[in-house]
Amino acid sequence: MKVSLEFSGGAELLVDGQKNHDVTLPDKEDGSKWTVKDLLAWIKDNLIDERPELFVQGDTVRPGILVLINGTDWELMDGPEYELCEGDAFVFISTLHGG
Amino acid sequence: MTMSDKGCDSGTQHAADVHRTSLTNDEIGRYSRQMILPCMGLAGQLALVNAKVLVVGAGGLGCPVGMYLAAAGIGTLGFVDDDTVDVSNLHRQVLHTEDRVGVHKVDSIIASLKSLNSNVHFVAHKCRLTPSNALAVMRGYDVVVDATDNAPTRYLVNDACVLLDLPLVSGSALRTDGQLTVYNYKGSPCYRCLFPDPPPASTVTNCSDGGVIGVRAHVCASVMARRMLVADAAGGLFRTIKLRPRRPDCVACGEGPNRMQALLEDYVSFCHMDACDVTSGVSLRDPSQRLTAPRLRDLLHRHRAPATRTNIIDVRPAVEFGICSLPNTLNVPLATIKRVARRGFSPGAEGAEAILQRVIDMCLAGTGDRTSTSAHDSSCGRSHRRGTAVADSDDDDGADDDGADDDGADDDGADGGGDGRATVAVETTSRVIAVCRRGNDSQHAAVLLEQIIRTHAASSSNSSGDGGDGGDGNSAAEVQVLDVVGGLHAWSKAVDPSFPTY
Repeated sequence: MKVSLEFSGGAELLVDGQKNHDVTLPDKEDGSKWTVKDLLAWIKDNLIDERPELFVQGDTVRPGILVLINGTDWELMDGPEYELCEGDAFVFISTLHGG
Repeated sequence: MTMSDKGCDSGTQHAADVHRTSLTNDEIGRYSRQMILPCMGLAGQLALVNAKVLVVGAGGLGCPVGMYLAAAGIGTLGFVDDDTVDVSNLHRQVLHTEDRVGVHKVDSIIASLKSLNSNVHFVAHKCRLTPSNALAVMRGYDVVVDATDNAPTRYLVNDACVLLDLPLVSGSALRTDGQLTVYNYKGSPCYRCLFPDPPPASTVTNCSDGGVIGVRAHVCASVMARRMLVADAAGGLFRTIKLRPRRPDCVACGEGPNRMQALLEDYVSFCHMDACDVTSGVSLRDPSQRLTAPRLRDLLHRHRAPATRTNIIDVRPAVEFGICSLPNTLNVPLATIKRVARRGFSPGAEGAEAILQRVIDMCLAGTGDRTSTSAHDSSCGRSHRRGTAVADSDDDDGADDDGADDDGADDDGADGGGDGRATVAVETTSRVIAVCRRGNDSQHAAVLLEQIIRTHAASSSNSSGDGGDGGDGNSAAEVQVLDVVGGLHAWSKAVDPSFPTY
């Protein structure tokens, strides 16, 4: 399944400074559907080099990161339990504090 | 024009608190271009003229916000800030001027805005917003703009807005990104609904460390939107996000029994970080492993330590190294050092990684390599000091000298304090000095470099099969890794004032 990932607001620094990642996810072994929770684990294992705790904590993102699913706050979309669809776009925005 | 200096314990109660029901002819002429918009009209302009807006933060976001609010004819405009104007602010904080460097930002911004629109009543709160003064300062305003630069103050402003039932327009900018959200307005969520827990301090970067594009803050601050707006100057992208509704269990604005009745006592400890845009120092290393800037200068100037090879590694990012650097230093960014520490040297390493590998090989071999001194020619005209720093080999037969002909009792050991270093100095035949901007990253780098050197020494000795202790070169323990306290800032302050700080 192909989905697009975007990291911004500084979250891109966790993934080699690259903002956009088009990724292909393998079928899950047990045949179940991919959820955002699975996606976070996959990102942690495949895209993040160091200090994964700055991205994922437990089954969710660390405080201060906003997750968008196709442009909408993931809290409006089942959060970590959302089931991925082909072509979905996920954005991970680290909240900024500069002024 | 009126202006009041309110200090920190009172809000907007003042002579301008007169509800206007009509405009003067001058005002109609002045604001006509916006008043003829159907969404504005006389009613809209009267609403602006009667509005009292407090801007928290008179910096990169506060300037453009203040500019457009004053220009549009807001009746009362207050500013809170305890900072003074610094020259590094001027590229983005466009209402401050060269001749007001050192002046209170609140006074400076109001001076500029007075000349833009003298009809506005300005209120100066020259203080830092704190839990003890926030409610008093904010009470009486209609809208609060969060243009602050740190997380603790953002939580404080949010909580105070919830307690006072004030809408909060919150902007932030960093590097090339900007974000804007309206909180606590007509059922919209508050800041805590979105971010119930503060981010880990290590993930929060400030403008002085991360940099910021001035126009990004400007654009962000200039847009008023009910939804969250995320702007990315690098990608030329604006994104509007549909946010979650108010959280019923929010500790600030929710309905649960845990809802806060008053401000927290201490937002700094809640966020585990300081309420200002200043980088705090880390202290990871023993003083005996650290050099002061004057000690570094002494080392660079002294040739009397023939068997001591000194390699200075500047661990800043390449872009900062390009702005200014010490002569004959090698640039190996901390990110590269971290990568090598994690994965080891990659086969056929290039660039900074190759430089690092060569330095470490040289140190472990107990040899110098003069060619590496040409790897970098310092920029910014800062190379006036003699080029003695890198791979400072005694001579080219260095392969034969190990600890035996060391600098012995020579006093160019590490610490400058003197205690307990004699042993170290005797056995040291190579040393690596890590330097960075302020002396924080170089400590991390030094810790990692020690680890890399140990790993590299072990793998080299294993592969050569000599057991690691019988070779001609140095063992890992004989390679001394130092860092420079206070980094290049300290160098500029204590050694060479002509060296630029940024």
